[in-house]
Amino acid sequence: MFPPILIAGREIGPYGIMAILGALVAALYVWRTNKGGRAGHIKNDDLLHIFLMMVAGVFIGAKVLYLIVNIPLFVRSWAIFMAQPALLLNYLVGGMVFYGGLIGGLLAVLWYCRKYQVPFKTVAGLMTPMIPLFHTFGRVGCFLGGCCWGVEAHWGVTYHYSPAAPNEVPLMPIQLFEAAGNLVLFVVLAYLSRRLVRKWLVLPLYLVCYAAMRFVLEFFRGDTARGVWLLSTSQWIALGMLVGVALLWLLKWRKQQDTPPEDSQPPENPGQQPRQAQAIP
Amino acid sequence: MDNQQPPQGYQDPNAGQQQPPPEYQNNAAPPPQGYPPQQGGYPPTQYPQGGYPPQGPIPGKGKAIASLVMGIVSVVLAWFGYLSIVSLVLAIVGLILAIQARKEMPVGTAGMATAGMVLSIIALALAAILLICVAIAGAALCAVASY
Repeated sequence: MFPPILIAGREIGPYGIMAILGALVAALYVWRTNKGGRAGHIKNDDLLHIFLMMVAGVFIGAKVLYLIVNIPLFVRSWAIFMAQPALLLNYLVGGMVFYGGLIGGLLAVLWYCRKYQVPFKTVAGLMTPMIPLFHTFGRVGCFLGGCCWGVEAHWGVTYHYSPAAPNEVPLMPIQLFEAAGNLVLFVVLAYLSRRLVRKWLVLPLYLVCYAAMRFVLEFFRGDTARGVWLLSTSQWIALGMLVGVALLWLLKWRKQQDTPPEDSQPPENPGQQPRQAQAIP
Repeated sequence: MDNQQPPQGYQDPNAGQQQPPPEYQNNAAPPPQGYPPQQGGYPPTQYPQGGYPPQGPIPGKGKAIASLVMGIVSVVLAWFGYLSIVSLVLAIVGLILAIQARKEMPVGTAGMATAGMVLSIIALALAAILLICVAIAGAALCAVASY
């Protein structure tokens, strides 16, 4: 584990530093992109508010999902927590789940856009690429901090002083693989958000691509079993995302099929002769 | 041509320096001085003594004050061990209130809301950094506690 930095007598862990750095880089990216206007444009005030609302939603969503996922542990260890309240505090404080943060952030942005009449599709096209960009930094922070570790692999990375990952055991650096995947996703989405006519399509594209990537990478996670019936919580959510996006797409396609094209509609007055084009003298 | 009365309050800036326009020559009272000719003939707005329009309650002011107080408290609490979780909660609530206040308040009056927002951001960053370091150790302790 990367040693913590001492500032004003407080230990500052690498994960927190990487998270803050990631947030700053993501904010810089979205501000520059909004200024350029090629991926869409909204007022600077709204951009700031939406970014901050997203941050608040990420914190709330990530923590709520973490608590929900750990309810069985909480119930199982109730006697220990009552005997040692400090452990209970550590349980409440420790951990966040990315998918909870993603859902919380999206809901917060949706709420703001509805309340203050900001076009959600423009926001989606503009701000979606910053999600994998921020996540890249977060996963590097996980690697430096020693959490979210991978399965044992003889070619892997060995921690010596990690408070979370098993020490003196070579582990697959799955955090770095996911960071690399997120970086590629960011580059692709940033390019598409400038090129596509319907820029909001980068949001469902991100949800689908990240869900597929996360589903596969979860099989190589080595931290304690998290989930229900063979799959982890994040894998179930990833499946749900894939199914949800597919269903929405199907509904949209059916709606387009049901709406007839304009030239096939009958005339307003059936007895009226159709107007004929007049020759230009 | 009809002789038309000038609108009330109308003042010809050139009164006294030259003859008034022909349409006013036959009026009993010359046009008053000092005000430029007004299109549409509306009289100037009369303000009460002191010169300022009456002020009603500013929308969003309560939220701005609340966000400022929460921002200050959360910045202070962020430095005290496990109280940073309280700081985190207060910072998030303060941030949401500040954003709502900034949207509701008239332009130029949202300084308090902006201050509350800045303090909440600082507290959020501090609590996140200091708390996450505790959280990683906490997760390890919880793993031990469950066996």
